Amino acid sequence: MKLICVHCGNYTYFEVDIETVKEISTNAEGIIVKNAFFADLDYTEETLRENLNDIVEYVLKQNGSDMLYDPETETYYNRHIRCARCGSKKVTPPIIKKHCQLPLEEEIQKHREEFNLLRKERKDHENNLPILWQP
Amino acid sequence: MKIICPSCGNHRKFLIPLWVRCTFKFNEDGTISILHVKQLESLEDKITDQGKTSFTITCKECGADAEVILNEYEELETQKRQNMALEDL
Repeated sequence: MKLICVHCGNYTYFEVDIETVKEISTNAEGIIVKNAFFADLDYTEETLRENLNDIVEYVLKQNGSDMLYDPETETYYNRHIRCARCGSKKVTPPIIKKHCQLPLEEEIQKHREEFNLLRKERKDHENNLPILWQP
Repeated sequence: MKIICPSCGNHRKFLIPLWVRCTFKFNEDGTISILHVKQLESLEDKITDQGKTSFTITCKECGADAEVILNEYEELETQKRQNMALEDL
């Protein structure tokens, strides 16, 4: 689950407004609108997918901190993504309880043996490298 | 109507940015699938507004702002009318 609608609980279907690029050309009959191609690349489709991924990644990265406050309804809303089921803008990444983490020092102590083995492995690898030149 | 690029003279292919509403879903594996794409802007409005507020249509060849001539025969008609007026005089 990456995003959830606070209003209806939907966590699958969402909507977003994004900008894409189309190609237009004119002839005697009128305007022809189609996808823009550069060689074999469908630039329209590529832009659409990239912009969609960018905005979803951005919302996930912000983790709800870019939600805007609406004083009328006294709620927070997402300015980019809305729920495709109920149309609500109250879409946010779900709050996931963080695992109880050890203090850093304790965590390092706990994994010391594993790290020593790793360092030894690296040293062994370095010692076994072929000798390319000797004075 | 005619669209031309004043920079390179291209009059065939141009690019226009369009806002669309995209409905998508998250798959089980975390990837995104697009379900529907709906155009939000009127293409006609964008073409007729070209250059009035901002330039949106660009040349596909060189990327310069394109020029939209809505009535390409307007100048000819004006000339024709002027000629007819002179002949009448």
